[in-house]
This record gives sequence, structure tokens and C-alpha cells, in this order.
Amino acid sequence: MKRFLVFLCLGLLSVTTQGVLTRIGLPSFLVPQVSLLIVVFLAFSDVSLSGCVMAFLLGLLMDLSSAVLVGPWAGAYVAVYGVLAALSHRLFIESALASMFITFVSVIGASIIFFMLGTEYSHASMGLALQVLGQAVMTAGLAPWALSLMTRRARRRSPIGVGRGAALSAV
Amino acid sequence: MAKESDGEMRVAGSDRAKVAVASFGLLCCSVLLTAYSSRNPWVARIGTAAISEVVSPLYAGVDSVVDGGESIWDRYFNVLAVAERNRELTERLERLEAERGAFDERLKENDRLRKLLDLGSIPELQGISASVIANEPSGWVKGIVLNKGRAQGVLEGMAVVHPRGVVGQVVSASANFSRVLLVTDHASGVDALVQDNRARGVVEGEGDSAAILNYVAKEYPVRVGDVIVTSGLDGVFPKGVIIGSVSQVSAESGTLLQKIAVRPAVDFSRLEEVIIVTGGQDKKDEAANMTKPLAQGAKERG
Repeated sequence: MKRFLVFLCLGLLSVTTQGVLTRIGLPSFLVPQVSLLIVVFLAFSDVSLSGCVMAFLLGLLMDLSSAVLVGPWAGAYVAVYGVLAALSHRLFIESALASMFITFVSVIGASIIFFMLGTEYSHASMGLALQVLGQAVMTAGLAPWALSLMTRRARRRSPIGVGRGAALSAV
Repeated sequence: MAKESDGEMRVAGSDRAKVAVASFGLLCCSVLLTAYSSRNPWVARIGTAAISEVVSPLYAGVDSVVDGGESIWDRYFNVLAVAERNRELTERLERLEAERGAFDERLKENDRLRKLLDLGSIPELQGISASVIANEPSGWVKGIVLNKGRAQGVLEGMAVVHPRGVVGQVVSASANFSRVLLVTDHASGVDALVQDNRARGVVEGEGDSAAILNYVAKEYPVRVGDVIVTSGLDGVFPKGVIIGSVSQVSAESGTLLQKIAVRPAVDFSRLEEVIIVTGGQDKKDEAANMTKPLAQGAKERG
């Protein structure tokens, strides 16, 4: 329950950060998807039903920040979580390059799913494609620092192991 | 050791299978939720109102810090730019005051003529001023958060305008904050007129400070620079408020319609203060008269 509340607070903070960054004049294609970083972290640290539900709720939080449609971001985040969780035992996210690449692909995947669910594909254009790529690059740039910070915090709370556990690193 | 490792792998495998099934199930739920919320906007409104009361105070706090920083920068460091801006604003103010004098005369004449014809007088426009404290976080939905809500008389569906033109519509109002969908969002649609020839169409957002005026027949000549205003027929926006000016016109082959690109009159990237229109349909003409000098200026510059 405590972990659940911590991630919910992190989600609220990430939504606030993104809203503030666009408010201070940062173009929308340079705003990183901070909440998606939390989903990527969950996919590697908490492969469980609760992690899946948290990813869904983080997406719902993003949807409720826009007051237009409820569901597209929730679907996008849970899909990204599901795919990454399925591959988490094969991927080595502790590497900075790997975390950047995984995050980059996750942002593009989440944006595509958001477009499809929110029927935004009918308005697809070069400008939108550039926005997706810009956000993917910015989020990927932030990924090594953010993911290692969250991993260190999680290990401090449970020194035995996080998510996959030490045994799986031998795979 | 190998057997223990195999056991852990099987357990991990079954966990992953459960997570995969749960993810698929939640994905299906989100598809159904999207379809439901698209037909029942109250779902988004209620949820957003609840979240707004938690998140928006953070926005307001950060916004006041940012404003304070900008104020310190403008007052103590950016003196040259401020002086130049001051000069531009003074010239603009003098020009507008001169135009206002002529406008007041026309308004009085309009009132006299309306009385003569027994049409009734135009009531004052009623509105609430509000400050923009945040933008929509993902950047995909074009929206802003204002620091006024139900406690100050803001309701869903109210029009939001700026002295330069249309901003958008309130889509969600909590106790002390409200969210506005900008006219440049894909989900936005405003019933509009080309000011010169009165051709009617619908302005739909194209994202990132762009919009399209749709459903205008080819028989209406539309030129670059023509001003687009609200028609007032959608029951949301007052009549005659500027939406923008035409930036490009192209005739679609095989149809009877033109494709008209509109450049919004309002610079959404620099929006600080807006007005939420709380009055009814009778306020349309007053708003039209107030923005007419701006329309003439926009046409000259167009």
C-alpha cells in the first residue's frame, strides 16, 4: 500500500513537472514524458499484478489531466508495461545506453498506441511525428539518471533484491 | 543449484504470464473506457475536476515562483528589452485610444439607432478574468489550466476569450481551478464566419497554433488575410469575436469545398490572462464591437 502511494505521488509530481515545463515556454516536442519513465522503471523492478495496475493508474492520471478522453494514455502505458515486463529478464537496463534505447522505443510505442486509441491518427502529420521523436529523445536522455535514481532508492528500501532478483542477472 | 534456478525460472515465467494476461485485460478496459468517455464527457470532467484540486495548487505555486523570477529578471537585468517593449506598448496604447474615441461614437450612434428601431439596448459583456497557471502536461491535447473555478462562477461549456480573440472553451471546472480546451486542439470546433463575405464554416484545430476553416463552399471568394470571426450560432462563443486570419487557401479537387488554413489571432505560447465569458447570447454584439478595431488592424497586417 505504501509503495502504491509512493508511485501515485511520483505520478502526480511527473504530471505537474510536464505541465510546468510547457508553461515556462518549453516547446511541446522537448518536454520529456516523465511519467512514462516511471512505467519503464516499474516494468523492470516490479513485474507483478500490482505493477501492472500502477502502470494503468499512471496512464489514467495523464488522461485525467487533459479532460478530453479517459483511456488512451492508460492503454498506452499498460501496453508498454506489459511488453517491457515480458522482456525484462532479457534486457539489461542497468546500462545507460540500453536504458536510453528502451525508453526511446517505449515513448514512440506509447505515442503510437495513444494515437490509435484516441483516433488522433486521422490528424497525423510531419509536425506530430517530429513531436513524438523530440519527446522520445528528451525522455531517453533523462532515462539513465532517473532510472538509476529510482533503482538506488528501491534498493535502499529492500536490500535483498529488486524485481527480478540477483539470480536472474546470470541469464 | 540448477533445480532451484529452474524453479525460480518457472515461477518467474508464470508471473510474467499473469502480468501479460493482466496487461492485455487492462488494455481492453482502456479501449472500452476511451469509447465510453468519448460519448459521455462527464466521465472526463468529473475525474479531471478531482485531480485538478490536487495538482493545480502545485501549478499555481510553481507559476508564482516563475512569475517572480521573470519579474526580477525584467526589472533588474533585462532593462533594455523592457524599455523597448515599453515604447512599443505606449505607441500601441496611443493608437488604440484614438481608435477607441471613434469606436465610442459609433457605439453611441448604434444605441440611438437601435432605440429608434425599438431593437433594445446591448447589455454589458460579463466575464471573469483568470490567469493561466499551467498547460496540459502531455503536449498532445492543447489545453490550459486557469486559477478560477466553480467557486468564482466558472462552469463547463463557458467560452474563454482574450482581447486579441478566441482562446477556447472550459471543459472541466473544479472548486478553484478550471481546464480549457484551446481552439487549436483537434477536438475543438467553433462555428465561424469570414468577416467580409459572411461565408460560414467551422474552425477546427490542427494542433500547435494552427487551425482549419472547413465546410466553406468554393463559390465564396476567400483571400489570404481575411479575418475569421465567431458566428455565435454554436451557442458557446459570443458573436463577432476574432478567431484568426486566413493564411492559406486551396481548392480541394473533386469537392465543392475550399481548404482554408487559419492563423489564430491569439499567441497561445504567451497567454497570461484570459476572460471567461459568463454572460449569455445577448453579449455577442458587444464583443463584436469591442474587437472590430483589432480586426481592421489584423487585416492591414495580414
